[in-house]
Amino acid sequence: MASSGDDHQGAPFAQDAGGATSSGDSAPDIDGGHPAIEIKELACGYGKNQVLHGVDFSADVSKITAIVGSNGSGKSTLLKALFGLCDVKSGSIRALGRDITRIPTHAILNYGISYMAQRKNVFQDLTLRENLAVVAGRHRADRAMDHFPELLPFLDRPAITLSGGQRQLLAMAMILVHNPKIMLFDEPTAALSPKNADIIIEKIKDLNAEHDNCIVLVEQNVKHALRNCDKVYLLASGNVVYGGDPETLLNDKDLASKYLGM
Amino acid sequence: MTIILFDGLIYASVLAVLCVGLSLTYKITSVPNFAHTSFAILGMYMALIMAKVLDVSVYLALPVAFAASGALALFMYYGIIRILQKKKSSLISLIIATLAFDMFMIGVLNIIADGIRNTYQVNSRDFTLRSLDIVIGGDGGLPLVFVVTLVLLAGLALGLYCLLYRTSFGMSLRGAIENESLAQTLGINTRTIFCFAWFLSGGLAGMAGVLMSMWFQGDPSLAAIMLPSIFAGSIVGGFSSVYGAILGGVLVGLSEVVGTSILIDLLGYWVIPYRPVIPFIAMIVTLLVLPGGLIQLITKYQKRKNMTMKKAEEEKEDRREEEDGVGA
Repeated sequence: MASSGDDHQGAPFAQDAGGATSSGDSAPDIDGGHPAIEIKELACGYGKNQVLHGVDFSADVSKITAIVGSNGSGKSTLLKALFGLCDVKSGSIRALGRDITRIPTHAILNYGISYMAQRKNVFQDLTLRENLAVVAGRHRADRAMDHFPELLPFLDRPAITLSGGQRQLLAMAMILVHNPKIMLFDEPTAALSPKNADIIIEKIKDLNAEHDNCIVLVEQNVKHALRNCDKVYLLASGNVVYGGDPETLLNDKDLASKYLGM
Repeated sequence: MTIILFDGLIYASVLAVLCVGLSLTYKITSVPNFAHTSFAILGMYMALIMAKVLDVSVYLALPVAFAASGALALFMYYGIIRILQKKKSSLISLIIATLAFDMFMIGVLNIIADGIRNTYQVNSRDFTLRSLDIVIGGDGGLPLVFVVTLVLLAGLALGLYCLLYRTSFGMSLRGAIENESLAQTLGINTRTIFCFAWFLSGGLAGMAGVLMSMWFQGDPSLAAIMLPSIFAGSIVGGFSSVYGAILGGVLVGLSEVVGTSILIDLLGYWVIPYRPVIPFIAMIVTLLVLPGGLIQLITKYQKRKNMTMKKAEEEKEDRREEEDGVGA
């Protein structure tokens, strides 16, 4: 993965939204120069519990953007906010140049965005074929398996019979069906063996290379994330404390030791 | 004997149709709907209006009752249950809401009954439309309602299978029932799907009500009288399965009619008012012995089989990793 060349760092990270582009990064913009995702001053949470406090974030087409941070830092909530899965109190979210701040979850897919949840991301009682048919219609289901030949022998088995790694692959196949321009992955390697985690990350990188889409990856495994992303955001207590080049973050001993335990 | 056979099979089939609706809505909202029988009684009064007021074939009431009771169920879901769920109301509040709606509906049904009697001078209490039915083969032959009821139940079982297992919409419904949040992230409009399921559930109850009016006596109080029976049917079969509901509905319906008949022979006619005890006993015994209902016997085996397959797959993966590790 090529480094993006962003050099924003330090806490608090205030105005990264245009970070990648304002620093002259060559990330290809779309729809008249907008980043694929642009979040400004986002405050959101669940009911009365506010998790994110004025977060700025941007992610570009053809790049993998990682979000890292300790448990409870708001990584997953940021992804959920993008997909309408938590209550936005203030701020704005734009995707591919269009405002999606309060679009209902089921309609967000129409904006070219797919989301893979951390857990319970396949319908366990449905067979693999049925899982795919739910998102693709019965006839397109088989075609969705082109990227995942390893799942073909299990097409007529209930998803609950799959191993953890196979289940993550199925979840990826399901979100790929709609050919999304933006893919959001919430800890796709959680609870997987190191080998399966590598397979999943390689698949994500392949997808990125093949389809040129924007990928946002929330990862608990910081080394995994930093090794494979073009840009990284570090969250702590619902605030962005760093956003930019992963190498710079790794070299920043203060941030790395304080927030990443490295 | 023939009458008991007709009684038993018609009642059991109607009960099974009602149990399917109850189980379907329970699977969606996780709330037992205590107003479900009122959808059926509304269907009964639709039949009475069509046959005695509008003077048309009572069978024409089937689509009308389907639409009316379906719309009522949809109103209940969208206008009450969903709002309460959005407000994160507790299960108890939701159950009380369905009970309150049932009481409201019994009131409405009484107004409808009185309105029909006062306006059209038609008996609307303890009425039956049996005399208006067609008898296949003349006197002593096969009543058409018997055939239609069995066809409705068979068609429902087949139709539900085709819908749930052969169409993307049905698969989405199964998926949304299992995990609503995941369904939404995959672009499934769960609101539309659940509204459809509630409409279907209410509509089927309405049709069951029409058929009941052609064999049994109809009255607004029947909503409360039948409630233990449909709950017993759903629980005996397995509350979370529509096919379990069919099985449970048929078993409870038959045992109610045949069991009461046997008890009359043994003990006399005084046992008739105690007929509702049969579904209560069935319900209690099931909850004590097999809480998941009869369908649990099948799902338990399936679950064990699935777990074995999953374990085998994980062991295969572990072996591969070990081999790779040794190779490296």
